[in-house]
Amino acid sequence: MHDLSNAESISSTGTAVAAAPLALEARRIHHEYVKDRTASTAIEDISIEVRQGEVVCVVGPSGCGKSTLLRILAGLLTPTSGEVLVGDELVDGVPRSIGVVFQDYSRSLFAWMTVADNVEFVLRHSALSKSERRERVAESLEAVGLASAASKYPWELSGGMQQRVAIARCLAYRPTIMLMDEPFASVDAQTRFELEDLVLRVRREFDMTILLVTHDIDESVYLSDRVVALTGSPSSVCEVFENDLPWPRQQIETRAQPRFVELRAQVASTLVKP
Amino acid sequence: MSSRRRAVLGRANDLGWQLAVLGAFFVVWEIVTLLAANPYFPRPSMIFARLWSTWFVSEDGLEFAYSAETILPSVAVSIGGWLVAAVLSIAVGIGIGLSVRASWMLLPVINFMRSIPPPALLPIMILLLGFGADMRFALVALGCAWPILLNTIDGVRNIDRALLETATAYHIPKSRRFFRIVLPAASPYIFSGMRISISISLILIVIAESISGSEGLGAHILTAQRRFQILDMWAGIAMLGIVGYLYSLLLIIVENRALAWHRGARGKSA
Repeated sequence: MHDLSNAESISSTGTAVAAAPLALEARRIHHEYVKDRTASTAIEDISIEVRQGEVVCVVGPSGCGKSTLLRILAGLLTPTSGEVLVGDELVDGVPRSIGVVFQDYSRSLFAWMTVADNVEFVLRHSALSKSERRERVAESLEAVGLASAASKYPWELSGGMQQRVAIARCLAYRPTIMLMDEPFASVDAQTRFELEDLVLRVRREFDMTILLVTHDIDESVYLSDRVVALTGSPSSVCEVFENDLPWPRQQIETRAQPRFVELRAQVASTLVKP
Repeated sequence: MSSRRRAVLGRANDLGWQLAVLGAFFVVWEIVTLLAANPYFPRPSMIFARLWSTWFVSEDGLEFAYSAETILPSVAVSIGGWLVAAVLSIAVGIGIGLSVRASWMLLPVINFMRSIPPPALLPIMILLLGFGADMRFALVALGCAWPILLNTIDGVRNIDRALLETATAYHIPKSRRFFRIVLPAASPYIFSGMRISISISLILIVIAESISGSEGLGAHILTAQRRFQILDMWAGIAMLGIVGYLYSLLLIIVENRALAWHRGARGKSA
């Protein structure tokens, strides 16, 4: 009895992740835009695998089609060729199991609704009763540390707090996969650290699989189980780095580890061509 | 505390200045007309005394009957026509604005229609509907529709794609997306169209009433002019000024409530 539970706890920490089933898979995504009657290629050829419970960071230079990729993964955009699978289902439209946190919180929050209404809005058409919805909203705001801001309007909050609202909205929706598009690109460094740790805590507490797109190499190494580095435009997968940094991560200690510095240099060397 | 008090004092001060300038305006008007002694330009004190006795209180008591005969039809038809135009234009405008293709194809037609001065349609309106209230109503509604329609289309087309993608990502149903996202997001544009249209509505009602000449403030002014009752004519003109002022006041109050979030959000980013 004792041995069994022990064995379980071991497998659920390290090796289990590699053996976990695929949560999200992109197969040979290729995407072209037609603009002014000429086709330009945004994504050349990208394949990505995300296993259940993983945090995968996609990192690449600005304008390399990261946001396009995320919108394809989310089912918001149909690629020219290639396919996206969630679990073993082919994605056609946004799957119910995916929640999206967009890059620009000031554009994706509804300025005419209070913080609580913004969160509740994505639950209004669910089967939940009114009291269940309220509970869910309170719980989600609590999880991101915004319980006291429920009745404020988004524009009354700082940028970091607004992005917390966007995360709370995603949590309330109860996805199993969270897709984040450069979520912390426009907040200051200290807030960015807090929000990164919030993401990791949310992953633990809500058992979430996370794919996060960023242009910040440090962030990609700090947050992830795996880093997928993209080349410039049109983008392809350049290299995939298994991130073996120990959990839990600590902003100061983790970033000071030799392995962190090494990984960061490896990722950087793929992105910064001499 | 002291800064708030200073702000309150500042506002009181502004209001004081406004009233002072308004008062000075009437004093100058009074003096100029007194000196000019022209029968076509009576003194404002006489004009407003006549206005008061015509529509509010005269020696015979309250003047409800005459107000009901003149102010009521003008206000009812102009506001009614404006509201109907608003409801239809917002609904149609959102439909057109949501489709890139439809707005691209229809904009030249709408701009052409908008460019026709609505009074030019008066003859055909009279042919079709006669001189009655339904003709005036139709003219007001038609004239008010275009600015609201164009602004609604503009407002919808300027909605941030991120908002609509958020709605798609979270499977927000169509009707809720319409009323809770598209409509509020476009509402600053819609309100500015409605503000343009409410002054158009008053212009058109006066023109239509002057032509049809049976009821309303426009008819009052024209009848007075024909009978050479210059003071009554001026009282009617002043009354229209008051009605128009109340219209814009009403709209500002509604807008302040409906768009409080917009001002807050804009104030923050500015």
